Amino acid sequence: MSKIVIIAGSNNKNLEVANEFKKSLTSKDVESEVLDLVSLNLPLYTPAAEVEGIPLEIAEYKKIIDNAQGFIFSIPEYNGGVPPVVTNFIAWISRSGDLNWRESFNGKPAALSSFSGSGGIQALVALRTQLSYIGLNTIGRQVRATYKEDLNLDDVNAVSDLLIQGMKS
Amino acid sequence: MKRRSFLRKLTFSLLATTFPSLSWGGKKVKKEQSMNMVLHKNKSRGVADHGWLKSHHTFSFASYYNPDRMGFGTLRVINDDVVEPSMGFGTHPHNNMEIISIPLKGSLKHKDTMGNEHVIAKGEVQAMSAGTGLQHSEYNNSSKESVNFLQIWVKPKKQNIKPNYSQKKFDEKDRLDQFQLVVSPDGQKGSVEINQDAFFSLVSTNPNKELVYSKYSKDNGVYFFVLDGELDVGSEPLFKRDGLGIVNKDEIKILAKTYSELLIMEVPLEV
Repeated sequence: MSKIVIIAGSNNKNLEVANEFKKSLTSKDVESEVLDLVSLNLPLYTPAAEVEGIPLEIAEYKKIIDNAQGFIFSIPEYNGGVPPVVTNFIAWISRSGDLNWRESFNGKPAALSSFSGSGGIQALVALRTQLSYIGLNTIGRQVRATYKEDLNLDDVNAVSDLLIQGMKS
Repeated sequence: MKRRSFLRKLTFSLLATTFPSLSWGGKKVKKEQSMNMVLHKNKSRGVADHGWLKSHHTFSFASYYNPDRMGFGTLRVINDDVVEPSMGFGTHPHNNMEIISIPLKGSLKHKDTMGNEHVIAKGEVQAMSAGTGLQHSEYNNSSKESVNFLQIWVKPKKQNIKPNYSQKKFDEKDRLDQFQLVVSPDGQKGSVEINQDAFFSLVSTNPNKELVYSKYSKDNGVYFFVLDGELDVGSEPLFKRDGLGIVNKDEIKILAKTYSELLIMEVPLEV
């Protein structure tokens, strides 16, 4: 089972960033798995949708999250905020039927990154607040890239190291 | 006027009977539009460049959408993908689709929720029946070289079956100037089994050696996809990565001009 789950919030540039994190972790002998949220194509969470039934695959994703020892999020910025696929995914995990769902996140370290045309800062601030709320320990240093500023692989490596450190402590 | 055209028709049909090799002369039927045959030239495929992934789509897929290119019978997708070292597709789900992967260069690491974790390399064929649903990821297994592989989707015969996964290695020697069956509905001749009455064969052929492909089932259509070389299929000259679908013939001649490699996908036409 994968130690680190890398969550991609777009399946173009941010999946590319997620793959770079995976590469970096592999070179440090740390197992990881990329979760491509766009391709998951989950229905929109609403209380009405929940009454109709929790999608079967949520149980599988919940297992992946439960087994993770750390997380990396790479997300684009949507209108100064977090993309709907990310909040929708967290919403479904929290309504997966497990009342102790917070245990899936509590105390685990999380690193944040963004490839975004608009810079990504506001999306990362918003995401950081939400991830802290659900119990993750977010790492201060974050990775950002835009169409003008290429992804800095040294940043990716350094943040990977911080995350690995966070998993040990 | 009417009479003349009738006579013309008669003469031509007589000629055609007497000399089968003579064509209908004059007006050429535009082959790409013929009901019995579809030609998809290499350059006409949809292209996607994501940096880490370069993909050519014979049929509509993801951001490439062409209503005239929605597949060939139950054959829905032929993606010709090149993935950069260590990069790949994160965990994502599928359902009710037969997914066949054929590496052409390099190797691919596959991981799924049935607990399978395998590397597939050139010479191997992997098939996955998604059925009621499964999740998997696919990564380039090398950190140095890119991987090129075909991913083919075939619509299933039965819906909502139990997901299944299989992978087999095939000896390249056994396909030289003969058809090597790699995918079938029942796993015959050591092939990989899928949930559809489809038959995939690989063949590599030397120049000027004529081969005849005979269909397994009269109701199927056959789609030829050129992996390498230059050859005639029927009377159609094909080049690397061209695709040709033939509906109405049970036996189809193949004649290579250079050393060639061909993937033959025989599939039911009724979806």
